[in-house]
Amino acid sequence: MPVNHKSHLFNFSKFSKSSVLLAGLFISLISFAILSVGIGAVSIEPSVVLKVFANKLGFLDFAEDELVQSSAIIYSIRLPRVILAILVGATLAISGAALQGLFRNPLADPTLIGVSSGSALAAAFVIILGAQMFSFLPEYLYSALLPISAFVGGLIATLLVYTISTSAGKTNIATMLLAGIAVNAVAAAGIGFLVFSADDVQIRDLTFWTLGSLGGSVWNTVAKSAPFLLITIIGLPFFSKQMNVMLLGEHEARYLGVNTQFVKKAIIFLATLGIGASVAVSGIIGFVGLVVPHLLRLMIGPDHKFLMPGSILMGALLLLASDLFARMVVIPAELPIGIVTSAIGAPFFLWLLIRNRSLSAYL
Amino acid sequence: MISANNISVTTKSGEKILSDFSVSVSPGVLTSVIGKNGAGKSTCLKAICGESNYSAGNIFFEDQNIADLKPGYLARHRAVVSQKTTLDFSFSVEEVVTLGRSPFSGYFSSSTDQEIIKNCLQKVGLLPLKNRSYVTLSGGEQQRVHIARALAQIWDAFESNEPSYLFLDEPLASLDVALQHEIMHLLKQLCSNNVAVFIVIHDLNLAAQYSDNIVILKNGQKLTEGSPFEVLTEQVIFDAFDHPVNIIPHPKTECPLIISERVYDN
Repeated sequence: MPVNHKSHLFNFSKFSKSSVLLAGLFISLISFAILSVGIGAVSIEPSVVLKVFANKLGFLDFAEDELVQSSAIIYSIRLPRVILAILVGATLAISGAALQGLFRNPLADPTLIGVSSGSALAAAFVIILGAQMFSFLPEYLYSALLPISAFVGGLIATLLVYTISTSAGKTNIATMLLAGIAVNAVAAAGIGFLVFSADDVQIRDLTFWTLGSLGGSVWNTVAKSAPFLLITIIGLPFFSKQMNVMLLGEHEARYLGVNTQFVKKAIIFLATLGIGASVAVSGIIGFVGLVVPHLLRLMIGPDHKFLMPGSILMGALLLLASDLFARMVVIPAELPIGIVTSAIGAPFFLWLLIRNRSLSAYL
Repeated sequence: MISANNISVTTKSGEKILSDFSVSVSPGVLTSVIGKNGAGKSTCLKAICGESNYSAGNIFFEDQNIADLKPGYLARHRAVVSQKTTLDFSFSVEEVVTLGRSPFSGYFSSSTDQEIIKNCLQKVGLLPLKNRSYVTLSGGEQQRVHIARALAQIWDAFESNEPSYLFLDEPLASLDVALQHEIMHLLKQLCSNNVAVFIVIHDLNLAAQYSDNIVILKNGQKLTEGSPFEVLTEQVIFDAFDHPVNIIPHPKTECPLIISERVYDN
């Protein structure tokens, strides 16, 4: 009996299709990370990068000069930045996916609904005025002040938008987007005021930071933000099953045994913690949380059990690629990465709007 | 048995939408709720399921107060199909029904779950559409997906003949006559397997043909309750709906046949 292999391939179950995609993303991420570590003002061959890692892990024992030099570049300059790009990208994408589940709408992006700018306002406040107002704090608390205030700012923005746009478990999308515009405007005004009262150095810092940047990443910055980012990345996938059920609406979710109050609080907490921490470390990097979950839904559907891990991998990949582009395109200077992601994301958002001819169904 | 005792539901603005309402929902019995638009039918269903805050009275699930029970426990014994469920994400039909297994399954659904989901889709006649995206379905098909989902939720109890509960809020609204009977037949079949079926319904003749017990609501109060033969009289229907009807015995089954009258002609 002739076996039609081709049709077999296309008859993949959704499960295997999603698994293959996740595996593919994982492999691409690892390869791209190795490639990315090697690219820069001093170019390092991927094979050398692998040798350096193997050396570090104790599998090999080289003492060549070339390796020593490469090793120094990789460890002190490239690797912290690559790791930060991976963590921030993963966090932004998974937080976006989670917020879209919470709002039950695929347009709920952290930058669109004002979560990121809420974080940014609070963080800018600390950057400009923190030194004067909180100088009494011990050093270790003072260094945590930025991520914590970014978290609180994001939390306030999320709660505000969510409360305004949602009643009886149903979100009005027009209200959500309009509330997001208002929050963004308030944050922009606040940041503008802070800029007005800042000195020249602070203004430069702020401007660069509101555009988003992974520049200046060192191990110290990674160490400060990684715990927060990892809590979000590891925590959110645990709610995948509940988020699937919550897409039916809150009443239905409760009928299906979900403790909706707890799940909602957990999602808001974890997503804003991650967004706050990433804003604190890298400024506002827009649209990652919109583009990544959307592409994944197009490919494997809205099942959060695959969407969440997929967002982690694809978000990391997208930000890694954007960062590479940002530091390659205008060598020796570098472009703020937020410009790159917005340049990709905003047209994507417009395409989404055009594609949804029945926009009234969305709004 | 689920019993609601003297419950009242009041809106925030102080308007009473259900007052002093009592009902018992027993396994093996198909209870229909009929009444005018706005009579409080959906509110009464939501209140019994614990989703409308009732200001007075209490609801017992078997012998425990429903307010003390965890959602997870209730979900394994009771399924609810709401009047309107909005889902804007393009799950496949199969995936939506899989959500009905979530009170029982782990992170991924098991092969037993897959088998149950197939059976449920078969029962509502949607097996051929299992890979279709939910958002592309017609209203009637979407409604049947949710019935299948609820069925998947109480499947274990149904299989083992344990008492379980199924609440449906106007599940037949967008179905054609053949499907209406197919679904009512299915519900009847569930009843004979120790499921309590509680259904809000608009079609009086379907209620007459399939119900064991009919509750008639008016202005948030129970007008009367009883078997189709007891409550479906011309006088009661006129009181409930403010509209005249003729009732004759169904030529084949003898159950009451309600024929509504034209009244706006002169």
